[in-house]
Amino acid sequence: MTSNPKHLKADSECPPLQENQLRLYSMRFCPFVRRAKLVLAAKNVDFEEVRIDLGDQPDWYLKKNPAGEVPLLEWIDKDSKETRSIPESLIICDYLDELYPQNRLHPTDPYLKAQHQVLTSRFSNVYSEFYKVFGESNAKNIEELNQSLSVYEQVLQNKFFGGTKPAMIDYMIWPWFELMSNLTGYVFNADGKLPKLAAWIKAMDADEAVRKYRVPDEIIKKFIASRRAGKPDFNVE
Amino acid sequence: MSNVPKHLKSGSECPTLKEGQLRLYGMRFCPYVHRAKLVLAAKNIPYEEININLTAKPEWYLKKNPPGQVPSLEWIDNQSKETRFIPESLIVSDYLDEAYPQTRLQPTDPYLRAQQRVLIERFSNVVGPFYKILRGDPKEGIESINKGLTTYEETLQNTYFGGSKPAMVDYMLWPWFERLPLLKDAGFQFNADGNLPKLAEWIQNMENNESVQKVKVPFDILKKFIDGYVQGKPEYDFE
Repeated sequence: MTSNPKHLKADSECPPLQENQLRLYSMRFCPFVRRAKLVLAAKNVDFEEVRIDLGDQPDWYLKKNPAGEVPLLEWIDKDSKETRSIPESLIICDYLDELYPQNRLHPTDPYLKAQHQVLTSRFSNVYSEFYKVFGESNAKNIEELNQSLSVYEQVLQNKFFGGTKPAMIDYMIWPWFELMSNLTGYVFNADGKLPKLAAWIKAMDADEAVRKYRVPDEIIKKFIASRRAGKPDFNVE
Repeated sequence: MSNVPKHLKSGSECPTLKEGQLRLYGMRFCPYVHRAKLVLAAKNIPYEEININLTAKPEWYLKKNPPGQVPSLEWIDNQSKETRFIPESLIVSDYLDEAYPQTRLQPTDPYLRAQQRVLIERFSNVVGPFYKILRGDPKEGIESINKGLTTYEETLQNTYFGGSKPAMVDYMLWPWFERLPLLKDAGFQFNADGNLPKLAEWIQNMENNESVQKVKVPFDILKKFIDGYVQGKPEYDFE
């Protein structure tokens, strides 16, 4: 994907949806959207990206998704010709994993899958601490973020949470690590207590699916700065 | 019913887990535990019930599950002999559906399955106001809950959200519908203006469902629990 589409605002029109084309409504820096892109990349599935200005959502988007959130997956069903859509990052990712059997991301063993799902579900403890540090990178917030990360440090037994290669769990938690490395005032593993996670980050950095649609760090930094200043610049370059 | 296990508290000992036995950690009145019990009943899976006192949690339970919540599932794996553990109502429910193939509750079609999961996920629009009303904020709560319920009324196209028979989505939503009568005292009457006829019929059908009846807690006991819970002093063991 070489184009860099602008984030559509309230005055926009909805681009017509083509048959045979999977569409992902997104915001360039949203970690929940990043989850879906990682799965699409891992499975080599083509899609069209339509970006939404989350501070000025178009009415036509709110009609599709009253919650006004991204990501949203949309397509025209081959048989019925009806337009179908699925919101919510985890539901989208699981749907893609079920629909596209190549490179299965969830383990086939139900217990292993459940363990991974618990890890994904509880990662909200990490990203809520992450957002606190994002708001204010003081010692207390940083300590609490590191504490929440230590749970994952302890659990990690292999190269990836999924084993010898990344599984769904690795991709579901990855987006916040991409943001963390661009958070001014926070240095990951500053006290050396998260060595396994640090190695995992390096391994994920080299992963093809992670690299495919990755936003360059300098651009993420600019966006984070604009958000901190209170005026998120979604179209920053 | 004198064979409801007492809710184990801090200082208690963990009952020994036996091989070949699925154990459910729960609390008699918890709607999230209720979800797991409905799935266990629908699939006819036998299990041992251990109740946890949520205001004085046993240390051994916090070791197994640091957040300390219920429900959770525990058993000894046949082959490896290791003890296995799964928390979180939705993950427990999906695990049971996958590990025990009889009476599949999730649809096989990925899109249908995704649609029904969205319904479960967004039910927080009903659950949130439910607790608001229960905890003494009825005005805003009643308006919000009716708004939330209307979305479900509009979505319901068949007898059940799952189609012609109850699917996972129906059981995941049910516990709060069974508890709606608890909101009467706060001034909430389900379907007061008659605008939720499909949901009203769904409630009737679910009330008659075998699995729902099997795990139902008598209303008068549930009411006693809720009265204590709302005061901040829940009692768990009655009779």
